[in-house]
Amino acid sequence: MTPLFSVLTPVYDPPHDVLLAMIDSVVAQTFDNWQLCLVNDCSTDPVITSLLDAAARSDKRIKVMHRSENGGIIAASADALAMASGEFVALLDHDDLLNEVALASFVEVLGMHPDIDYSYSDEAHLTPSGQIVTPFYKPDWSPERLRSQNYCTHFSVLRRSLVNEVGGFRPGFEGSQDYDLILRVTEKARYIHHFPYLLYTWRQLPTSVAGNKDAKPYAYESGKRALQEHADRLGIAATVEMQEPLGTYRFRRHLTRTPRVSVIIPTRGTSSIVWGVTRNLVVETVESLIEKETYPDLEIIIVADTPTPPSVIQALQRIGGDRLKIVWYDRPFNFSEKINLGAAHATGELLLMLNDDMQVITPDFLTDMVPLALEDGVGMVGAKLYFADGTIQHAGHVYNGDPYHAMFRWAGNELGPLGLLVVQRETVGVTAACALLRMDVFEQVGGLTPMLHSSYNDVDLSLKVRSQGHRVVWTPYVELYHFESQTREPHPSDEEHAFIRSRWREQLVNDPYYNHNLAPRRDDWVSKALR
Amino acid sequence: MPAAPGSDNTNDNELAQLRAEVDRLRALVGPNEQSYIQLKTEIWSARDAVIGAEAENGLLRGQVKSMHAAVAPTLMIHQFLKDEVFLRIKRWRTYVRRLVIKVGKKLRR
Repeated sequence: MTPLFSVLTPVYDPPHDVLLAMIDSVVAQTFDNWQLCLVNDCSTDPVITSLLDAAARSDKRIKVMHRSENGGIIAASADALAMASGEFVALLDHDDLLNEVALASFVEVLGMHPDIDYSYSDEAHLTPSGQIVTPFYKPDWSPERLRSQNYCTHFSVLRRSLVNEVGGFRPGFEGSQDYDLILRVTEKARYIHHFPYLLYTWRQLPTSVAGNKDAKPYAYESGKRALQEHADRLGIAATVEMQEPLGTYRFRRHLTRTPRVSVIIPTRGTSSIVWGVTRNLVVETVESLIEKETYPDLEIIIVADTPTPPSVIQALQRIGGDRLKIVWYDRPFNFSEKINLGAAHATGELLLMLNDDMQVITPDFLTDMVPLALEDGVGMVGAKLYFADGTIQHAGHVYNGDPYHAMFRWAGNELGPLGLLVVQRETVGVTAACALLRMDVFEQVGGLTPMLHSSYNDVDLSLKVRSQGHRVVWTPYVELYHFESQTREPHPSDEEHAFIRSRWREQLVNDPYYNHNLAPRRDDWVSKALR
Repeated sequence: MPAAPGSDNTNDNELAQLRAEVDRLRALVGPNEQSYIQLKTEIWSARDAVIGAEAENGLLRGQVKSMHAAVAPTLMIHQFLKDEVFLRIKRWRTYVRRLVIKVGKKLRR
């Protein structure tokens, strides 16, 4: 059966040519079972009325309603929704353009996923001079990212019955009415689909948010409220805060309980020069952990190679006191085995894997990580790590042909493409240098794989966790230094490389949080070349 | 308690030993009691200077990375066009060469 699409477009005083271009882009759809529901929100320009009426006369699929008074975007959108009779509704602004295959693409996917309730596509901006710029190649469905920014926005297609079920457009969310609607619909959607194609072009006008972030300051306040209500509906104890850049939010979860966290630190007790001063790495790591973290139930398990100097062990015992356990490891180096051994001695409900060459920056960082790790569906949580020079060591993984660290060695103060480096989001994997996961998840996946003794064990763990249906989340709000050698390139052994490629061949080229429009074998979200 | 008569020599010896010990410890620590603290302060300020310098360096490194990313699309387009042009020139060269050989053969006949 061919579905009917209702394209909802509230209209208020757009430039004439822009309005006609928008209508033309709908008329030009290669899929023709649609209706365009245009609601004139009492435009002051009388020509708009005649243009809309002329459009309705020219094509009977175009429905026009003229409001007698200006009610604002939400009232007009609600009227457009009331006019709609399609199985699906699509949101289109009066000054934007649809790609001609936008609806056809959806129909194609509908055949494979009849339970699809919500979809969104990639989008680009159109400059006043007619240039298509800043394509936004989005990740696949990423609920945590949606809680940090409305990355879905356009082109959104929603099942009309679900839109009505959740209450349609709600007054009081001006400027973020679509964000509010998307949040409510996705809470109940059975299947959500991302089209990795530029199906929507967002026109940059001085009055639109696409052209000027300060154009609708009230929109961000509405967005914050929509998110707060989303948290309340889902029963997530969280407070939403606005942050820079505008349009991104901090979804700050609260600790509702404090289960024991077992911190596992594998070490050999080595010293190294950091910031011009020799330091014993593990001693300083534990010292900074204890100094910065006041989490009430913390257990520190040091998995020490037998050659670890006694002075280091004594220093650790002095700093850690009763909370610290030493577990001896007397076999040749194997990071995975050491972590697994530490986990076997752990008594915590949560397990924090921590390298011995770290320095904690964020005080009480577990306050941010623990509630995330305890949330349903979340399997593992990673942090933002910096090299000693402040450049980014870790901001989540990217599996783009091979495993990469996202935005590796970018400046620590960078926002990243579309705020990528300052928003909490799902990622395909995180480094085991600092990762928190529940013990039951660790046991479910069988811990780390000992065949991967030094490299890729975290890639493997992340993919195992994801394969069990859990999400891996990266947070920029937990920051640590990681004094990994900056001059030494990681040299995974051939066997480890072959192992990871044979076990996860498909996953290493299909990162759901990257996008096939981005250049392969890169970590920096650069678009693919022409070919 | 007053010192017992005739014990001055013993006291002097002890005093000398203690003075020697103080001298030895001073030699280890530095010229005065403040030197250890000063040394620590100097190390900390040196470390802070290193942190600052490394952070500056890191910012520059980061900027270079983002500039690389900014020019990457242009470089990719450049490479693509270069490949296309070279490929076409190569094809044309082969075509012309074959044509010349063919014409040459015909003329020789």
